[in-house]
Amino acid sequence: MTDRSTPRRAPRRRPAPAPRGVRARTTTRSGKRDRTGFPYRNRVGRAVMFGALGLAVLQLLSVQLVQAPSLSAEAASQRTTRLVEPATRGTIADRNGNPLAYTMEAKALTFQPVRVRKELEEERAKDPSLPTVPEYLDGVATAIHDALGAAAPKEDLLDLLESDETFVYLARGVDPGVAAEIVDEYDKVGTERQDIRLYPGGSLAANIVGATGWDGHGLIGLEASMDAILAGTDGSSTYDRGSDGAVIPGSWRDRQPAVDGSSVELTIDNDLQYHVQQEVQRAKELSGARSASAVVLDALTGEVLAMSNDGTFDPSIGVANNPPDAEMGNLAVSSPFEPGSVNKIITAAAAIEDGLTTPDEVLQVPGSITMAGATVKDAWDHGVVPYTTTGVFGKSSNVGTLMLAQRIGEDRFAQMLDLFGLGQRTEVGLPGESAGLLPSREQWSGGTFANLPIGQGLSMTLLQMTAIYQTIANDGERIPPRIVRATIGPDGSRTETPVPDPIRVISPQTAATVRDMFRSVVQDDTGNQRGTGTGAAIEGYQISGKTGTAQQIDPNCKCYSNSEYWITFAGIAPADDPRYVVGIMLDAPTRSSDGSGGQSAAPLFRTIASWLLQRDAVPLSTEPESRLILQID
Amino acid sequence: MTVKVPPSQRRQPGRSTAAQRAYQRRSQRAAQLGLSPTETRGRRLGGGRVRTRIPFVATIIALLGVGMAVTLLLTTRATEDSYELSAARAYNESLTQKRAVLQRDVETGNSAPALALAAARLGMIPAGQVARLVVAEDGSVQVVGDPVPAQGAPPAPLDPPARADARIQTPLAGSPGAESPRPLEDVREDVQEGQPRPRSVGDDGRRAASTVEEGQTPAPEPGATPEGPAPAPAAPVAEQSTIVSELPQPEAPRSIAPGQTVPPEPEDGLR
Repeated sequence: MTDRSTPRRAPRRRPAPAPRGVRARTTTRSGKRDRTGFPYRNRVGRAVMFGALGLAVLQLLSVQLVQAPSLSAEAASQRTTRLVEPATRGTIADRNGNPLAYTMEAKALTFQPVRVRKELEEERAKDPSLPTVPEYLDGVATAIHDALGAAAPKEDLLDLLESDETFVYLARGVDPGVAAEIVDEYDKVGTERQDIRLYPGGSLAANIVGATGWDGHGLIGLEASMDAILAGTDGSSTYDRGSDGAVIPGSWRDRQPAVDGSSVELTIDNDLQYHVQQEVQRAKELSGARSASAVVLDALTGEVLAMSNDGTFDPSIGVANNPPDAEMGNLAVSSPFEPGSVNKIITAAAAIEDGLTTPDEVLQVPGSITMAGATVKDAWDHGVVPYTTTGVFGKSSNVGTLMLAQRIGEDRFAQMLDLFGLGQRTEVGLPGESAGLLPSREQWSGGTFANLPIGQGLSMTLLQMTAIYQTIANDGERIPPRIVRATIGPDGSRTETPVPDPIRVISPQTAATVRDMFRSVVQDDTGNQRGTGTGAAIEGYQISGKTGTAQQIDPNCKCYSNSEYWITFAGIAPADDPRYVVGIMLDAPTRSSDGSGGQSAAPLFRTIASWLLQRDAVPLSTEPESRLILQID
Repeated sequence: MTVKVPPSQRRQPGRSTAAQRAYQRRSQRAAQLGLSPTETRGRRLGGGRVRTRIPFVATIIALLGVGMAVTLLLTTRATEDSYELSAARAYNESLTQKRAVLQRDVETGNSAPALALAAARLGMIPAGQVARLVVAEDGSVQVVGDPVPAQGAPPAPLDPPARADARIQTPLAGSPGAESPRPLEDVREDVQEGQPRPRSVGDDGRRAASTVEEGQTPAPEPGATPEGPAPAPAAPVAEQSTIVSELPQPEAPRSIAPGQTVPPEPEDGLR
């Protein structure tokens, strides 16, 4: 207020044109008001000035006091800009640190069609040597199309460049070097940081790893289920920006650094995974199966070394670019099936553990057995045959197995199923895991106990099935399988996945006896001592395993089909010093996994196990003392 | 402080009031120093003392001058350094990107499927069942298994063929990763065309069982040599570019044109 009144006071210092009294007298002397005289004008002028001043003061008060908060908020919102600093997504690597999925910084090409076209016109008006707008846009479209190929058709790019949008993305996921070249040539094209997810192995382990969507977050597989660990937290900072876009100095604030995502190390072995994936695909094609899957476990730690199914998609080309029949899931953990004879190992383990039989006991096995009204036959017709206990499993006799199961009893058998982890998720760390279906003891009907010991009437995932054999391989201690070995934080701190508590299922002696007995399955012989899975034998190594053939449900008759089977195989290599456990499932094949006649998955076991034994230079097994006796001649 | 002014010095014509006051103060100072006012005339006031102060003043002026020069120099240096810094940052950024691209090529080339394809290109086939040599303690060697030459075809590529209408980005030739011998796509085609065991695709798009022609040993194609005329980085790793017409719109229109000032860091955040 004072500075405003000062200039008004100042003129008073100068010699006043007339003393105040004189003016007053002049007005009164005239007798009536002089509307043209200076005093009148002076007074009116002063009133107007004071009035204007008053208005200004009122407006000032209103702006500075009443409207101040809302106006300053509005101004702040106009100039405040928040910058997001994206966190880098963690890597998914195999057990040797070879990446299966990692993130690379790439660029998205951006453009502001309306604004840039106007700028180009203005610039050309000043300098006619510059290209015309259509020439420039055509150049941009050509450059991008040449760089990116079919992913960026020139017509689509031109449509975008000539559109009336204020902002468009011309391309995403562009190599930084490529983007820099385009922007160097056409500086009206902008770039924006965009991280791309790379899968160097293509479809290698894609069933496990999964894929991310266009927003960089997980869509399927571990990418989705571990998204919270992998993604990290974006950072941000705030600054003020003038109307010309320049940063107002000193306005940076609220800076939150980005926290990069943690990396995940899997128990998978890339090389083995490749081999298994390749061979599973091949087996599927050669056997004519609907699908094929395989799991390889470390016998002593329960770690998943490889897990594969056929027809896996390729995340490196984008999920949507895969053929419509590509398998996006992970069948080995998500699709339970009836295992068939592979399940007989539980009967064997329980019978040996409880001392109800010995491998050499001779059982007089008839052609069929009736239990609680259900008659079960062997896969081949025969009269009473003197099989040893070893032979019952080596020849996969349903009748012999049920004879042993009767000795075990329903309750003990149910307990063993539970101990082997059936009907429970393994909690391997993969999404979409199925627990399989195991009828609880209370729900058992008369025929249930005639079915379960021979692997019908219950379902399990391939991983569960392989885990049964891991128990036998690991001297009777079941270690629930897992696939995430460790997470590595952005600061390099490594957090190992805790090893699950082992579950003692059978004694080490029982496990060794069962392993030895099940060598009979792969024993070749021209006579009666031949097992059912000779194709799995590997020369120089003792192999223990079991074939399985389970009838599928025929939806037409709602009965067990006599033409479609789940063909399974699970095996331990080497049997005398277990290192690996391999589980295989072929869904309704018409031939064996190597294309030969019959329906057997044993050749696929041999291919996988033989490769592993060779790759890891596993010492040869000692020669077994004698051949196993399956049948008394 | 009021000063008693002699009447003789009052309002001399030709002097402004301010000048008048200055003269008054001078005579006052002269009086305080015990000099006659006349001695102050002709700027002879304290002549000896002024002379003794000259070196001091000169020193101060010199110091100021040096200070300004140093400030100027430092400012110039700082500006120069900031230019160098931003140039170095940009260079560092480009090197980081180059490194990332090279790293990608290494990872891609080092992956099991890429190595298998490279082996297939050389006509290598999986060994299958192998015989093993067991060396006894006495040095004698025992052969376990029958060594038989491996036969058959190189493994088919692992990846499923992409959809026919797929839009898969192929990177620019001459980009930093251009040293990698050939795009995997080309190799895939070689294997599919030149080898007997492709991962076949039936009419309905499903992979059908394929036949193995036993005994056929594939020869590497002339065009499949690494020095083939297609120097481009490995193709399949470039992530799918979203179909352009389906791109989502940005949340808000950006108002900074590419040429305009953008915050120095993090780079590219706004453009």
